[in-house]
Parts: sequence; C-alpha cells; structure tokens
Amino acid sequence: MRASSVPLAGQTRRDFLRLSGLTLAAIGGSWSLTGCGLFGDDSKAADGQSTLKIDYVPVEVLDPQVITNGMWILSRGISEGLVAQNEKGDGVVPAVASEWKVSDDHLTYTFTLRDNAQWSDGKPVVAQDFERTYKRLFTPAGGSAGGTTLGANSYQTATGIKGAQDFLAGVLTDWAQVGVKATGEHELVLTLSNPNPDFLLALTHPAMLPLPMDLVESKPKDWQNPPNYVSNGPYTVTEWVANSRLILTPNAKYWDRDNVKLGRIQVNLVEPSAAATATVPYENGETDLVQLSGPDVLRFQKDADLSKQLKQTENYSILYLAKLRSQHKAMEDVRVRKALSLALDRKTLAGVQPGQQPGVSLVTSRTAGWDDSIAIKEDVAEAKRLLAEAGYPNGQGLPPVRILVGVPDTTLADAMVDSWTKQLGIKASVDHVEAGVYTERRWQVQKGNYIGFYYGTFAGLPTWPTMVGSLWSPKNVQEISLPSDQWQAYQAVQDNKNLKPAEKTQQLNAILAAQASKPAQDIAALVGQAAKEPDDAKRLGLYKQAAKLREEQYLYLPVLWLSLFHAVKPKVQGLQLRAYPDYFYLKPLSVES
Amino acid sequence: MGLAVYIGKRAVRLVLSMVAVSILTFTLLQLAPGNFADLQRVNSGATNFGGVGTESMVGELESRYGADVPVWKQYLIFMKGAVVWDFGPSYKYASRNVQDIIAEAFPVSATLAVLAVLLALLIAVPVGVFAALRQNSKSDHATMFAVTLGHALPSYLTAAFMILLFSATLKLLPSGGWNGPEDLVLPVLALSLGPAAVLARYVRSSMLETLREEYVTAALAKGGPRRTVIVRHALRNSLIPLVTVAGPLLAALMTGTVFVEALLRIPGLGLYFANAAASRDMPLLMGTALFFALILMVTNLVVDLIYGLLDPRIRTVGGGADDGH
Repeated sequence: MRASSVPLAGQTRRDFLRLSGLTLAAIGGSWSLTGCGLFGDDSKAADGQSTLKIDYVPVEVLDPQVITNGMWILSRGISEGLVAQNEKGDGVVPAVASEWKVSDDHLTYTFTLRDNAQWSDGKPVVAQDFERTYKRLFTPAGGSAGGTTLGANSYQTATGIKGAQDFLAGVLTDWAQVGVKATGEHELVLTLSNPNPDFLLALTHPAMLPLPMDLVESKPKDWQNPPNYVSNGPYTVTEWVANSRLILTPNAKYWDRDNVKLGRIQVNLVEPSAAATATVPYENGETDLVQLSGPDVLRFQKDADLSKQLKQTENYSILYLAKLRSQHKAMEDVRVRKALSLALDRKTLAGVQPGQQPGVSLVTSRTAGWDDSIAIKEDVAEAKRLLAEAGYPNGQGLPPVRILVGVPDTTLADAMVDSWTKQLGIKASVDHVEAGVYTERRWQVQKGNYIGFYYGTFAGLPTWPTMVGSLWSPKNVQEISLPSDQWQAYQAVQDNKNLKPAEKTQQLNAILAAQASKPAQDIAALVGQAAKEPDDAKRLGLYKQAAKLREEQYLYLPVLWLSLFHAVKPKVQGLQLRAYPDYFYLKPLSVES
Repeated sequence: MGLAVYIGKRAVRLVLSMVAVSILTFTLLQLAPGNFADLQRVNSGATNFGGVGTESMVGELESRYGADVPVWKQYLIFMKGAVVWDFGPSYKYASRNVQDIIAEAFPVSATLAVLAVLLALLIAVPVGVFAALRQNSKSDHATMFAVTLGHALPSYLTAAFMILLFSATLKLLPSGGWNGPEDLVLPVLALSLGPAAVLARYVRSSMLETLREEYVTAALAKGGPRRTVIVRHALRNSLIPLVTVAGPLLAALMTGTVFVEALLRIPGLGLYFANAAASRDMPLLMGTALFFALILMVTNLVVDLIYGLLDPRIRTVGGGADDGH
C-alpha cells in the first residue's frame, strides 16, 4: 500500500489540479468546439455613442409579407415603401415615391419614384420591384412567400386594388388585369376598384414594402439571412441571432443617408414577460427603449425619475368581446347581449390597469369625426329589464356566461365577470384556455348550455374605413350573425377542399345572403355605399350610420380602449410614437452624446 | 456476451424508441387543438391589427407536405427526411431548416449544461463528504437542510433572485442576453444549484455506505491515516454511483431549460422546443423531440458503458442481464 503513505497534501492538490485541469479543458473544449460563433459574430462592435439598444419581441421571419412580428420591425426603417406615415400617423409623407398624382375619380394613383433610391447592394429601386413584390403578395397559396407560412395578403386586398382579391382567390389568373403596373423605371400606377380615402395610409403597411425580388427568387430560402439580406430603407440587417438579437447598421446606399444618425442599432429579441425582472435590463442600462406592461407602468409612474421616461400612446387598441356560437339559444336574443353590454361597469374596469379608458364604441374616439352618438350608454336598470323581458328575470334560467380567454393575463376578464355578477346578479366565469384551444373553440358551436363571448383586442388605423370596413368588418358581422346551424353549414363549405375558389366564394356568399341577419346585410350595404361616396360629409355620415347599426347588434361588445407604454432613456432623441403596430420609425432617432 | 453485441442490442432498442417517440409526438400534435396558421394569426403582433376574416388560411401552409396530403403521409414524408437528418424548414422560422436551428442552439444549451454540471460536482463532492463524515451532527443537519432547500428551489426562481441581486442591485452582471462570456455566469449559477443539491445527497449517502464497508474498516485497522483512507478508498469508490446520476442530469440540461433561457434571454434549444409546442410547429417540434430523445438515450448508453468500465462487477452482470431472461 505505497499510495496510502503519500502525504495527504500532495494527494489533494494533485486531485485538485487534475480536476480543475479537466474543468478548464471542458470549458475550453466546448468553446473551441463551437468556435467564436457561440455568442454570434460582431456582438462587441464598438460604436460608442451612436449605438442604440432597443427591446423587441422575438423575430422568426424577416419577410414583410408573412404575418409575424418580423414585419413590424421591417417597416420601422429597414425597408421603405412608396410613402411613410407622418409624425402623428394620420397622413403620409413621400418615401421611395417623391410625388404622386390622384385621378379625379380617386381610382388611379400614379407614383413617381425618386431616381436616387437604391437597395443596400447598390442596385436602383425601380417600379418593377414594386410590381413584382405586389404580384408575390397577391399570388395564392404555395406560389409565394416561400410556401411555408401564410401571407399577409388577406389584409392588403382591403386596400381595394383592382382585381387583387380575385387574383388572390384564384378567380382571376391574368395578372395584367390587376391594378398594379410599372409604366416606366420610375413610374408605378396603382388602380383601385373603389375610391379608398385610406389608400395612401394603407400603403404604409409592411406587406406593401418592396422586396429585392431577384434575390428572393434566386435564394428563396436564404435571402432573409445576413449577410444575404438586402434592404432599401435607412438601415439594413447585418446580424440575426434568433431569440437573441438583430443588429442593424446604416444602409450606405440609402438616398437620404445624411439624415440617418445612428451607427448601429442592437435590437434585443426578448420574449414578453410579466416577471418581476422584466424591466431590469432597462434600469441596468442594457437597453434604451422598452415596452412596459401593467405593474411596471404603475411603478414607473410613482417614481420621480422614471415617470419622466414613460411615454404613453393613448387609445392604441380596443378590447372587445365577441359572441360565441352555442347550441343554447340565450345569446341569439339581442336583448340578452344588450343587457350584458349595458351592465358592464366600464369606468371601474378602466381603473384596473393604467392608461385605460371606457370603450364605449368599437370605433375609438381617436377617429376624426367621432362623437358619442354611436356610444353605448350604460344602464343597469334597463339591462335588468331587458333580461327579464327575454325570460331571464334576475338571471334565472340563464346559463353561466363565459368569457373565453386565450392570452396569459385574465385580469380584465375577471373584472368583467365581477361587473356582471355584481350589477346583474347573474352567474359568469372566465374560461381560461391555452392559445390553441382558444383558436379552435372561438369558431365552434359550443355544446349544451355553454354560452358567452370570446375575448380579443384589435388595433388599426383610426379612420372610418378601417374601423368600420376592416375591423369587425361587414363580412365578419354577417358571419357572426348566422344562426348556429347555418354557421356549421358555412364552415363545411369553407373546409371543402373539392371546391374551386370561385365556387367556394359563390357558395359562401349565397349562405350569407340568405341567412345573415337583416341588420348585418344593411351594414354591408352602408359600408359599400360609403366606399363609393366621393363627398366627405356624406361618406362620414354613412360610416357612422353603419357603425351605430353595428353597435346595436351587440354581437361585438366594446369594453376598453387601451394605451401602450414605453420607457425611453432621456438620451434617445427624435422618437415619434404613433398608434400603429410599428410604434415608431427608426430614421429620426439619434442618441445624445 | 461481447461488448459489441451489447452495444448493438442497445442501438436496436434506441431505434425502436425513436420510432415510438416520433409516433407519439406526431399523434399528440395532431390531437392538440388549434394549428400553426391560426395560432400564428392570434399570437403575432399583426393579428390584433386589421380585419382578419374567418376563412381558414391553413391551406397556405403546405408546400412541402401539400395541402391535401393526409396526416399519415405527412408523417412518412417527415420521417423520410428525418432519418437522413433533414427535418425540412420550420413553420415558424420559415427561412431556416430545423437541423440548422438545432446546430445553432444546441451548442448554447450544451455549454451551459456542461458548465453547470461541472460546477455542481465541484460543490456537491466536498459538501457531501463533509456531511457524511459528520453524520447526524449539527453541521450534517445544517448542510442537509441547505441542500434540501437548494433542491426545492426551481432554477427559474434562483435565476430571478440572481438577476435582482447581481444586476438590479449590485449592477455587477448583465441581466441576460447572449453577447459574451459574462453572460454565462448567471445561467450557470442558476442551473447548477439544483443539480449540486441532488448530487450532494448522493455523495453523502454513497459515502456513508462505503465508510461501512469492510475494506475501509480494514484499511483503518491497518493503521492507515484516516484522511488518506477516506480519500483513496472511500471517496473514490463512493463516486462511482454518481456517474449514473450526473449523466441524465447533464442530458436534461443539455436539451435546454425553458424558464432559465426565457428569463435570461439565452438563445438555447429549450426555448425553441417550448415555442414549437406552443405554436404547433410540426417540423421543429418533431425535430427537437427526436433530438432530445437521442441525446437522452445516447447519454444513458455512455453512462452504462462508463459504469461498466469503472466497476467490473456491473460489466459481467450487465451483459448477462441484458438478455432479458
């Protein structure tokens, strides 16, 4: 037993050295195994004062035609469309198009593209780029967007470009008949089927941004991944580490390069979190701009310094409830739905979280021309009378009213339930489900005596065509007004894979025409009329009439108008927050030295 | 029973298990309510903007699988690619193939896992030995109390505490992100505490057992210095069972840790896996699930082989027992 006589000190030291050697080897090994790429490429590029760090949600796709969060970072200033929104977000300013002419009938828009607009690879931005991009956007499934996910095209047919809807539906196959035409290197003509007062604003949607189509077609899988990425906006993407960060640097070829002030933007891709640690990166100086949620907003508001860094975007979105289809007939009675809306104590609900206002109509008060003629007047006594009249005095015989929620936070839904049980004495509850269950259940016909609403939020341009024509659109209203059995028949047609696009559209429209409620048909007619009406005052009147009629159906109940909050470091200059899902543009931003 | 035959048998089992995992994952995914396209609309920032009709846009999903390809055929198409390590593009991360995502995110999770398990061992061995040598004393109880606490604390809670302490209060470390080696500190610390506690308990009980062995008594009776006997005879032998615990721990950590990754903004594999399940991203979910299963089974195989190497008794018994008779 020679070994046992070896002095202890030497033994442990040797063991220790061996162990620590192993440890270092393992660490070194795992690092060298992955190379210096473990943390990404140029994560430490020093640019001093001209670096801005902002937080954003994770980006999975950098294709503006695919509905993901990625599209809204692109429109901030990576890609540039024909026009951009003005500071307030209620009008447009020239971007790639230096000027445009609108025909007298408001149907033809002729854009002149600036001749010094360039892609980041030095190629000129030409009208054909836009035509080819829009063709990709309006091409039906499989043919475009890499075929791997759904396109944003369903929104953009709402711009009213002639033939776009039919081309997308596969009814029209001749692209020449679609109202998108490059008539010269620097001239693009867009033709509408109906006048659309929101058309120029609609062009600021990310789906209308141009793509470098040569690249997209030659590298269908890889064009989004740096260093391949090519953009035409103030900044371009030089690094993309999924779930970690995007690195943006100025596009040297940008036509207005002199007015791009930052040297580098680090976009931290952060999963939204309600954890107590959510604002630590901001307060620790790791990010200069971050979006805040409820409890953090309250904390910032109470702090003398932090409250100055808090920026509010009022009335950003609308929280609403939508009727669920059920076997039980209670919710088919408009009196029941109206009673539930009149008995919501919106003022109390608004006090639950910061920045909220009672949502008295689906159209927010930000919309020019809004007045309280379309607003809901809460009235508990009337609500009780209506319930009794419908056969449910004091809620007797009425099944519990459920609110189907698919988002993590149920605070506001809980408050609504509270409002109903207190004010009406009915039974109500929140049905909190996983997101997948939510997406499936909200279109189903609920079984047995399950009745209630699903919970949702919408944000959109504060204009009448958007608020009445696109959000809770006439078609949505017709669909939700269908009796449960007709709704099932309607869904069966939607899911029928044997029908040609034109047949399907025709059959669906036939069901709506025969079975949707009379007021729902009237709303559609009013909105159709409004879209064609050239006179501003008359058009406003028609939209308002449609909006009021929609409120009176109580198929969708407006609940709250919600604000957005950002915390912004004082050194960040030039921030112009707009109530639009991209929130602000990067171009005017600079950092004070 | 030769080693080659043993490994061969294990490999066959591994393949069968992988097939079972793939079928189960695929079936569960089909049974789960909702689908990728609908969820994408609901969950993306865009969905609360603009008038989305009720038309099902699912049809736009499948260029690889085809809109009308029946479910069982989709499975076969996927598996045909999977056997040659080609899982195809993710639905959610449409510009990237699943195998590329794994190749990028796995090193991140694996680095954290290896470091965390090493740190855990560095903590656990001395703590376990310390407690065992003072069995039933106050310091033993105190140590075991601390260990139980460490075991009970979930890693995300530890991580949150550490962010508040080291970043928010002391301002010593970044609160998260993945920009440089300093970003390793918090996750490795947070991930190592739980395993350290588990391992310390194993070291303690294994040490106690070995100390009662006759050869230890004999060595002491022969007059060997107590510390030498403990280190050379007792500790060395009591560390063998640790291999069976540390292996699976390593595998579990390597396959990603959803909460810690989310909290500390680490682009590891766990986050992808969780997101894939939540968004019903079939190729990504199948790819990561199969990869996890593979890692786990390979680790177990390696552990068993190492165990046999360390303890010749296991080798013979293990070989015989594997016949299943």
